[in-house]
Amino acid sequence: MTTINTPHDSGHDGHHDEGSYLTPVEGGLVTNIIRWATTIDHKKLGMMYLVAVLIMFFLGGMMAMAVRAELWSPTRVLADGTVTGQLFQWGDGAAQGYENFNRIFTIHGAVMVFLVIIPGIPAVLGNFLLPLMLGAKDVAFPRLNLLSWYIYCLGALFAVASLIGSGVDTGWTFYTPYSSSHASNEYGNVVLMTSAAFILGFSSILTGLNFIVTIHKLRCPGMGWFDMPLFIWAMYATSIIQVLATPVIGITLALLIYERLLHVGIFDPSLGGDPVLFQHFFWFYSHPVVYVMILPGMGVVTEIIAVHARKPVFGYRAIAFASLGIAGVSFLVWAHHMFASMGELASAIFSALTFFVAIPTAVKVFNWIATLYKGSIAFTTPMFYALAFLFLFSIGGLTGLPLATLATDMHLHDSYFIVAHFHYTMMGGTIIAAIGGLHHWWPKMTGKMYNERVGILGCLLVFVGFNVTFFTQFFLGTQGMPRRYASYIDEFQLLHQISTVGSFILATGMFVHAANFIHSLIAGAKAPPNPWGGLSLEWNTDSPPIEHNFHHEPLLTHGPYDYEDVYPPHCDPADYPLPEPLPEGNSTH
Amino acid sequence: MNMLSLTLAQQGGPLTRLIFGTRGASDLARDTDYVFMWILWFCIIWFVFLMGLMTFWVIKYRRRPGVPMQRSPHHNTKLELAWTILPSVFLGYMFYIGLEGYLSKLVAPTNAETIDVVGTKWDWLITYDNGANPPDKTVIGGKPDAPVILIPVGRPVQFRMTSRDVLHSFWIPDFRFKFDVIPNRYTSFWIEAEEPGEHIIFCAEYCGDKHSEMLGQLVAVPAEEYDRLKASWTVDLSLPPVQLGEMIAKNNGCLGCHTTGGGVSVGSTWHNAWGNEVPIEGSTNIPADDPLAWDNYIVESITNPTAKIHQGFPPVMTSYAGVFDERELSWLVAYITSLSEKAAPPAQETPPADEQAEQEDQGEDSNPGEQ
Repeated sequence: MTTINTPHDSGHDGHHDEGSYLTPVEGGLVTNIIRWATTIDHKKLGMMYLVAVLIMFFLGGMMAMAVRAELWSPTRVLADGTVTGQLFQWGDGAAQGYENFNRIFTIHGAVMVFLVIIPGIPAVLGNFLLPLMLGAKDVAFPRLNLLSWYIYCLGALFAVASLIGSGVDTGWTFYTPYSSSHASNEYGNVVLMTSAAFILGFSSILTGLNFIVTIHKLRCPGMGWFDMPLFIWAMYATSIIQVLATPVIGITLALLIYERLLHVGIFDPSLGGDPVLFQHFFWFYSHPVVYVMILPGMGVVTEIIAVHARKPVFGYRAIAFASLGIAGVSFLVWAHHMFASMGELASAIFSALTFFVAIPTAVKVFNWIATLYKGSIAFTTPMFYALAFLFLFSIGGLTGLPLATLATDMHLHDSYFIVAHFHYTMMGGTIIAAIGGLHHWWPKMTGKMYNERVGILGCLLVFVGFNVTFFTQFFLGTQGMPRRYASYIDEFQLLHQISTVGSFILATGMFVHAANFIHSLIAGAKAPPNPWGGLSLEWNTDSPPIEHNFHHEPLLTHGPYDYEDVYPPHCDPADYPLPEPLPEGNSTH
Repeated sequence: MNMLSLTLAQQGGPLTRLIFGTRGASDLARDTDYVFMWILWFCIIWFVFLMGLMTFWVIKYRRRPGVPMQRSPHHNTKLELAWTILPSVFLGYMFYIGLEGYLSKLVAPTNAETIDVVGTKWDWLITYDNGANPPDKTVIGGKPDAPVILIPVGRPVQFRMTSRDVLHSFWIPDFRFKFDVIPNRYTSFWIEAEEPGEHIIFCAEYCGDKHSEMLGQLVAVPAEEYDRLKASWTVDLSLPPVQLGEMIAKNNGCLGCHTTGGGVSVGSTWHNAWGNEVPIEGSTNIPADDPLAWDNYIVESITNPTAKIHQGFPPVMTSYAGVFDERELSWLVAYITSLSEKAAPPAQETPPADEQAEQEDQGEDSNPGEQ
């Protein structure tokens, strides 16, 4: 990578008067902190989201480790007397039974879903990259963007407050009537946690709305809809779901709080309500949101594969329409989470609809693999993560088939098979894609290169650890291990122990990445503007980008994946890693 | 399911055993295994093909100095249509066999015997069609008193299920089926055991603190033995009220939250409760040595538990109004009274085994009378 020449330095030296967005302003630390806290720069907000999401990821990850530690043995591990027991001891109610464990897995689930995976890629990479990829100076509503970051932080505070209070033991799904009338509401923790999800919804809606308007209105001259990078298409589909579905969860959780505090019968049968109604409301949001979680991951992987294989994405339009297709069908399959509590007709209809969502997803996988054909594939950390994504997400997707099939789902529902399945899609899909994307755009975001060997080592540890942890859980599920069990029968111990060992390998891999990133910030080599030879617009500016993104308004002359046309034909890509710089835009607005 | 697939399912190869741990306990259970294995092989073939292709291309087209870039088509409509339509056909078949297997296990034959199952935190309460409750308990995992549910071999039984408090789910992995147990409605499914044997029952829907101890054991016994035992469990009204009350308390899950030996649990202990003063949240206390006030307090606490909350305990008990008739309530009052030293004559019957266990872990709770 050292041979890369930087086209900007030759031709645009005269315009380098503007500093990078990371350059501190004069006036000391306090001034700089205030500058960051009041910034409306999408890049700074992306970085602020990154910090916030990583803190929450660490919290959720530690809870996952506690869950795996507890499951090392069939009986209690995190006993009251031990140090870990003290650590996870909340309130009086936790003195008996398994409430500690129940609180830990609830926090793990709620934090990972509401605070990490849903906002993760859109808020961090989306915020940072969307205007850059479109050739815009910022998102359409920069102030709204700042507001949504503060709303996110407020939601996070509510979640952490409920944790400090005494934890919540409802599971992240908050199923009624347990959550509304039975779970302990010491210090108002249940209300706090559901309020957190309610508040975070607004952050989601605002970000989604912002992105939709930005994509419609701020594409640079020459960029039509089908000239956009596919990451933008994925963000577009995601944003539509966020705007349409999130209000439903807001209202549902408000009703739950209403019932909890005022005892108005909505979901609790003893008050005259219906608990299954809550499940319908809840999944009407939470199923589309599964695609809010995975679509951005798919977008990231599409970019990584195209750039690191130097190949036009096979079937661009198929992938773009598959994103929209998934977004549309995702609204029609919510009740497949409830086959075990509905009538036959509803189950049959939703089972059939669920198979429809499998098709566009499969089409995407075929397209990604076909993109590799005759490519020039670089063995970099992002590429290994993209390949890991294809491997893990394929398993995640295929194991969805016996869950969409009614006969087998009635056995596998609420078992560890489900746990393994959604970790393969949510973590093996979204989180793996996010880590790959973070490596891919790290040079752009920070202006520093990371250590490639350490990155690949981390990727290997994460990949191996992940499979050891979760592949065993498929067998636990088919053999009859129910989810959310603090204790279990002795027969399951071996598989649980293998899973726990895997989770520690996985965590080690994460720490390797963290160390690599920290080292990169302190001592990493300076990143060139286009270290991977990408063709989308974010590679057409400095690393890190200047405050206003581009020195000149970009004018699009080639598509994001036109490697075969931009690179001289029949040449060695290693010798010609970079495309011609874009011609300077003449203000033709 | 057609004959061929049934035959295949009956065999259940070593891979099926590895995956499910146990052989399916009925034809329909093994049919589910067959559906699962069919999907599994479909997945394995696709997965190996895709990952093989990916690995092959990644190695073949790795970036090497001196190797020129190659052009290739950017899309291929025929190929893309093929890989959209072909899997759809398989998915359609998958949907069909899934629906068939699901309906066959859900819709009971008309001659099925109904067994009532009531889920309650954290126990399964069973009532047979003659009103009898199975009295046996067993140890499974962390649960010392898991209910033993008898079913006859070779006769279909249908579980009619409802919940008294929160959502539960009645899962018998050996029969490859579960269904949610919901407070305001009946749900049901049916099974038929083909040979005598024991099968574990899990609660599969998260229901709070001791969710992982909400276990049970399903025991299939020869039909004659089943009929004999079931008849022998009908309630003998000639027993003393205290004993009848104890039976009702056990069969209705009262002892899941209330100890009879003075130990701390979710609810207050019944040991030495009757006749002692009880502090009430935001109201006047239940006075000591006032038998009538105490009897009223017990009945009210069963039928309207949140009316008077014992200080220091969460208001989590659900109402049992309509569950017990007047006679049964009087038995419960007699039983709870008998557990107090203030009652005359003092109850000095041999406490059951689980009660002794609870007495051991009384811990710092040195003055159980307070409860």
